[in-house]
Amino acid sequence: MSDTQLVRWAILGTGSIASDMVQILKQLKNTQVIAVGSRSIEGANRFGNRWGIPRQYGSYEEATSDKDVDVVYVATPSLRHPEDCLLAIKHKKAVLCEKSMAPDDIIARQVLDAAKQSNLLFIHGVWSRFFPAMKMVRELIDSGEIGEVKSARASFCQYDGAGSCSTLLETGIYCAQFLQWALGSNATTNGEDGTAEPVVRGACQTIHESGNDEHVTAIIEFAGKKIGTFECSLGHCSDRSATIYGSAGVIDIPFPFWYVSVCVRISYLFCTYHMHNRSSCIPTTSQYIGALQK
Amino acid sequence: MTGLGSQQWSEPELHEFELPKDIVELTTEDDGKEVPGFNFVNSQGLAYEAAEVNRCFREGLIESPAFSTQQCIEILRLISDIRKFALEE
Repeated sequence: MSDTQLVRWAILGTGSIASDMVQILKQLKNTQVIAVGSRSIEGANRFGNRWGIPRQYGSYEEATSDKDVDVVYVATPSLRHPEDCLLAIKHKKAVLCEKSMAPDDIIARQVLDAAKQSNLLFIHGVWSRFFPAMKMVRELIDSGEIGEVKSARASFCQYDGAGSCSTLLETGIYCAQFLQWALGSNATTNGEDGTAEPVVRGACQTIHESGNDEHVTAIIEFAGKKIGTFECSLGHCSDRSATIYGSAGVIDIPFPFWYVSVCVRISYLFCTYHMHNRSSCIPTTSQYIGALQK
Repeated sequence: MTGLGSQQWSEPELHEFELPKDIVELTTEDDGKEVPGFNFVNSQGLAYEAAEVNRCFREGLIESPAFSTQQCIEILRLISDIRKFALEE
């Protein structure tokens, strides 16, 4: 299919990310932003006039029901995402929803089921997934260049916004999607190939006085005993990098791993390890106990 | 094992990626005619996501292979499970 078919967008919300996205959309071929929806007509007018959007609506209902709109970009406050997505789906629109699309999988499933039942496109806008570098990372893994992948880690801690929202939904989601991309056996397909689903094997968290999680670390086991670990926080900083470890090499994704556009560094291990007489190894606990009992 | 010396590494192989070259910061169309720029670092990269939405829409797809419905639910299920696990501890 060629890209000559015009795609007409409506933007819901007039915040920072909406302002960035409208600039992008206006520069894509055969793409028009024809409508903006805000909770107030003043907000819609301000944003619409600023970015040359002709149809300015003072409600999300009106914007999503515009018959000429093909795709609705949901960039409203995060807590509203599920209901605003359902509104767009009700009006038979394709949806790109800014992350996080839902607070949990139960609500996410309701939204995704509604889109599927209406045969509508729905994409959760975790933008990391669409960078060409991520595609290359997956191709490198699949090619076996770093041997058998054993584990991966991701760290996304920033000193910004602690308590205002859940760090799991704000920055942890980038870590979790990265681990899925790196360790999921079916990351480049549609899934449903019968492989075991990842299981959470460990987690600890610090809760902010607002009730939102502020600092979370987790261990996730993927099919084939591949282990993913991540740390996310809104209360302190980390290097915000990610790494994939294989039996023959390592893929290192420096800051900023979640919009990996700068570089991917690969180091190959020449010599994995030397086999030595077992006696030179550190004894196991049972060997210690055995020795003590003698 | 012979300690740290048991591992010999190659020089890192660097792969660098540029942001979409043809995406620029736009001038506003209101009377101000200013260039507010992007609010988020590397927002030019949103073009990849938006282009994928356009592609899927034009091809009549209902999900993107880069982030399928099943993968999307799995991520949120993991986040829910992490919460539950941490609470039980």
